[in-house]
Amino acid sequence: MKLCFEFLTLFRQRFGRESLCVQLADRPGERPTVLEALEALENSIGSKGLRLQEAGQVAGGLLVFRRTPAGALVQAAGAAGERVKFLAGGTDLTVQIAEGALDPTLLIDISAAEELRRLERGAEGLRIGAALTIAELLESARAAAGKPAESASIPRCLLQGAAAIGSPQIRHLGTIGGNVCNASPCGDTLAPLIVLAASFTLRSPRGSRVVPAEEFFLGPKATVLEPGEILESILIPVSHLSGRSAFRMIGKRNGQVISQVNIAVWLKRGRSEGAGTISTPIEDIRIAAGSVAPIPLRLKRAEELLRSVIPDPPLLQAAAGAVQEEIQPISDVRTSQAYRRSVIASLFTDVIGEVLEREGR
Amino acid sequence: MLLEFELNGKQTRVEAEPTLRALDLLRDVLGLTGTKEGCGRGECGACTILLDGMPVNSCLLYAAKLQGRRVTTIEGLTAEDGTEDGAEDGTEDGAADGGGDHACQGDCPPLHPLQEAFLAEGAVQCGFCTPGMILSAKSLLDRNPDPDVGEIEEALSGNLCRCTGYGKIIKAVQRAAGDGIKAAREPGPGSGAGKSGRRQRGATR
Amino acid sequence: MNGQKLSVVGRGVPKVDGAELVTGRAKFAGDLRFPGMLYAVARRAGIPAGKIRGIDGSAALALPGVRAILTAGDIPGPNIIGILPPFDQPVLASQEVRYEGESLALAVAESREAAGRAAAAIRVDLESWEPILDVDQALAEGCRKIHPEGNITFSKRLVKGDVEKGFAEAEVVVENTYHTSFQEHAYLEPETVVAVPGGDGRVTVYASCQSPFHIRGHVAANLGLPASRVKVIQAYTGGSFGGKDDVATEIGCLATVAALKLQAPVMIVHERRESIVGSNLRHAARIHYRTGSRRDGTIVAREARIHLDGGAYASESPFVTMKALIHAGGPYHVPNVRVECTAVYTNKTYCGAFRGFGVPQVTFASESQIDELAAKLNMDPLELRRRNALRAGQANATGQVFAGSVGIVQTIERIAERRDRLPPVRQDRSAAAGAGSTPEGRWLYGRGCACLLQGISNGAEGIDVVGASVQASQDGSVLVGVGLTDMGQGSRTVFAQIAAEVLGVTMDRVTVRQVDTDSVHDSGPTVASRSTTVGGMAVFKAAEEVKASLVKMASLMLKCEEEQVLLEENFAVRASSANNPEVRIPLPEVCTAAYWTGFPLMHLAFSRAPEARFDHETHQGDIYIAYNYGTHLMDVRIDRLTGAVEVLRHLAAHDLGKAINPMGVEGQVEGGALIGFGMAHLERIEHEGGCIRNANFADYAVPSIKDRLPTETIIVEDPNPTGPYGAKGVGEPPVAGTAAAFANAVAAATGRRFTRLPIRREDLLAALQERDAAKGG
Repeated sequence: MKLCFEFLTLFRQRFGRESLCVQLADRPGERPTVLEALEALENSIGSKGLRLQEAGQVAGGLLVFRRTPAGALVQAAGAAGERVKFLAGGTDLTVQIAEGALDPTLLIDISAAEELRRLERGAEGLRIGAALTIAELLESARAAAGKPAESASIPRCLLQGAAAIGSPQIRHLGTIGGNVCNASPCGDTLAPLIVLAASFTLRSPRGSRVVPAEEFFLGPKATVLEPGEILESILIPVSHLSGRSAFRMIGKRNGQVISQVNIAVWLKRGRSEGAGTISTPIEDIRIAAGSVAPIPLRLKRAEELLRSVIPDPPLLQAAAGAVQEEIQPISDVRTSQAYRRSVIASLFTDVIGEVLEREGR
Repeated sequence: MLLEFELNGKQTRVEAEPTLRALDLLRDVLGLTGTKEGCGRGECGACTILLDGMPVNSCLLYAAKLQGRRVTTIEGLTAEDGTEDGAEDGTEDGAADGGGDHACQGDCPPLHPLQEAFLAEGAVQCGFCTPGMILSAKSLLDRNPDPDVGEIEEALSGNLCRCTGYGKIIKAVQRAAGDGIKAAREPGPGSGAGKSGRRQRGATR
Repeated sequence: MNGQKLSVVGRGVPKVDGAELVTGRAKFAGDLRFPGMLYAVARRAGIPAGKIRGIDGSAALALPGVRAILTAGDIPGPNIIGILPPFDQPVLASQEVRYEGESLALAVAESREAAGRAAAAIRVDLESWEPILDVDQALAEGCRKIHPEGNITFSKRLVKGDVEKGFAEAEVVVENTYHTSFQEHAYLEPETVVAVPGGDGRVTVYASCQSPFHIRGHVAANLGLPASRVKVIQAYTGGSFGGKDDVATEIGCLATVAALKLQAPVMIVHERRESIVGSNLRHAARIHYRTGSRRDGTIVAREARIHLDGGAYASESPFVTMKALIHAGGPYHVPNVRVECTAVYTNKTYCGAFRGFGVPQVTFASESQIDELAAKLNMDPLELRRRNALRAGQANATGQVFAGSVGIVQTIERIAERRDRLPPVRQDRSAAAGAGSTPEGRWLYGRGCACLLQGISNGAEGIDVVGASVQASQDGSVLVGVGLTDMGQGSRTVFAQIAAEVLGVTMDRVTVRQVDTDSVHDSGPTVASRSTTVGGMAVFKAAEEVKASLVKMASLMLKCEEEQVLLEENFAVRASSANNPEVRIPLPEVCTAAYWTGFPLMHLAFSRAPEARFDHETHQGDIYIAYNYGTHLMDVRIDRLTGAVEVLRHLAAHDLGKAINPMGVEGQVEGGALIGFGMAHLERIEHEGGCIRNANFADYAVPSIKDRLPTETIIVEDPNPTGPYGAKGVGEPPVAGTAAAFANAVAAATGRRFTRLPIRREDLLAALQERDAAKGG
């Protein structure tokens, strides 16, 4: 019994709870969008004050529908500023709320919104809905394995990053959008998205805008998202769906690990005439690392050393050195600055080895 | 708000605060205390339940998210023959219960192969991690009946155990998988009175 | 007892309470529900040291759902907890804060959330003091006194022979200083109690615990009640490992004070962060050690100076001190041993019992010394150990001589045998894997071994008694009650096996009840690997008494001598006609007849370990009823580029007297080994300014399934005359053996001795890079 669209809001006051539920249904032939639902909610809150309002029985996808005139709930939500949070999987958000780090007055659950859960390969590239869970992303890759390249196959570094997140339980609940918007410096999909030159489509009632992944992060847990703005989808451009990519991370232990440091590389080789890819130049390369700075860091100096060159051991060694110098790690409860600086060179070596198909490890 | 969802195979309706944790809904409102709280932060897996067959941390789930979903807790595990309260006659053959080494403190419900395997392999010590561990394993075996060790490890990587050292847990999952495959390969719908798939209780090594 | 054929003892039977656990039916304390139950949450200091100027609960009390805010003044009794003298810990502090987790007040409310909000809303006025953060600071002249008597919690010495003379004779000496860190128990079930006032003037406390009698005594004292009015029932306990020894007492008192004041059931459940910060840890240790031997490897002298950082309160520091003292010398015959061990107060979370109890720390130091000595002597490390290992008839470090059950040499030989069949340790000379090329390959391989001993049961720590009851019903089923707790280690199953063996019933006819302080003799705490030995013995004795009644009855029914009666498989059988089915009677019939004839079918027995007699100045004397001995071997592979360690092989051989349940033994060895591995490699409590920064399971790296060890258990049985069927315990020894073997394996792999535990990935990487830099390669 799956509802085609259900929109739930949770409204809490500090010392007493009022629940506010608005449920929307299919209009014949159409599906309400998240924004329309938000507008409907605004109507309930704005015009009727904070009255408790509950919909009637839910019956297989056909619900009471309330359509409102224009008026952006999101703007109303925007006026409340940081007190409104969008909830997808909740694996980070619920913890922050439980610990008192966040205290939103309004939580808007967008996890079931279908337009946020699509995975499509189109002319411009691969578009990933922000509310796709990590597990769904990994599962679709498994399903796409062996299918032609035009299918929605997902670049390796992103899969490796996604697979490194938490535990199966976290991956079945948490979403890629959540991992991105939580903007923890150690988020495992962040460096991969940056090296894949991903762009994020942000939507609000004012319209939508596209922000390159690299420009999205402002600091630990801080992004360019404005109040009331949602990350709608992530686009990996067709240019970066080819080439090779890889991701590595390391933590304190082997299972259920939080990254002490992670690194992603994407590169494209030039045309090769002869056998062996070792002797073809690197046409383009992008390198990014997480947990080595307040935001996931693009490592341009290391890239420069390797762009348009034929990679040989001395160059790779120099690039590893550049990676070590360019990062700005700190010591924290997870590990020391020294370890981050040392081990990133090793991770870089592994990851570049994988994308270059080198022998040994 | 009124929540409606499928819980352990039955349609369930319950009134609850939408921001109540699913864990508390199960334990405090519905009285199903088999799901445990170990950390409240999604870091230990003791609170694992299956949501549409997939393992999730119920301490991270607001109850509202259960709406319309299929939820399985440890209480919902049944024996292979599908009955929840036990088969018609209590024993597989005359000798099994009386002479077997599997002694039960209380009345013994028919156990899921994973539950049998955990017992037989000594994969349970204090038992606090066990419900979550078994559900994660069940989710794995339901999708991948013949996992290798790496796949078992990956599936259980979100469930911490401090007592067993994990070795016997791996063996238990392998045993349950093996029994499942054997059962799947057995010819016919069971020999005699529909008891195919019933496991021999207990084991000695 | 010895020599007879055993039918259920010695077999790996599944847990008797396993079905309840795998179905989720077992009720842990947090699963209990009582009408009108309230919840309580403590308000904790949040600063490591200071003066309490005032506590104001009025704002908190006004919050919705809040029923009471309690402070020290609400405790009718002396407001003291503590397992041992000096009994220096308050239930609720009112004068001084000594560590960040200090409980100052208790909020009681209708829900956990309301209680939590109320606890946060309690206003506390604290004057913050500079915390005392390490042992040297605490011992320095003029340092602020954390307790009135000063900053030394407990200090003792062990003196055997004359170490000065010994070192004068020594031809080779090794000397080093070792450190171990604070370790957290990390049981999956946080501390939980429920206190329920009865209508009969009594109160029942359900607790996740391992020492129900401690709880009873403390609750009674702090409530100003006679102990006979307090009943403690151990609920299913989700792991303890020593951690719920005193903490359960603390929250048991708190919950009971609230319950009796409000005349309602009160539950306290710790959150994980609170569990880590507010309950005891393993002592961090600094051990300065030197060992002297002759050139042929005979060890002539060992001297150790140990400092234990015990945190804010004494807890079990005195016993940990003594145990560390007694075990520091190792399982070797050494004529001259001197050990000094001092536990010190600091303003950090207090330390107490944790599986191993001081032995893992000193074993790491001792066994590192042995390997360092072996290197200097150019001798095989296992051979050096064998040469010095204790044999029966030799005096150990406390001068105690055992006539038998000293199986250390056997464990060494079992390991040596296996080692001989193993391929030699790999040296990876493959081509450089990384950008920084070096002559060695990606992996460094190493093999390490370690020997250990662990005294069984309380030994010098106090009276060692256990009460047990065995009751046969008319239907031939048996009810066993013991004063010791099963926290997962399987003691309930072992007790059932023993009763079943003695009475000739099958396991499904035996029930082991919950521990209930009303129904058995005060049995002390379930610690020190004593449940099988001392507990099992009590069950054995009680069962034997019941058996006597059944045998007497059966002999009348079978018309034969009592000596001819055998009890087996739920039947009483006349021995001479074992093959004749006519001459056997179902036990239920015997039981019914015995009842009607007037033979008693229930007995309470009391097992008491021989008292330890020793000199308190030198710790020379007979201290333990038995020792478990072990030898571990571990092969590791270290990734030179990341410091990650893979354990390729782990053999753990233990002389445990008799394996009553071999599957249970394996479980104890595998589980204990992983805790030892955590201590040696993964786990470290990070303090900053006296506050714990990683009080959660993400930043404190409890091993996951992907971090497990390939532990193989090797059982050696050198029967112990004081244990049932010759058994000794095995719960703790694997912790020490694994940690020490890991350190030696890593040293072998890297060519470098690491003297600090845990040896983490980052420590390995740093050391390897330093070495590469020094080599210039």
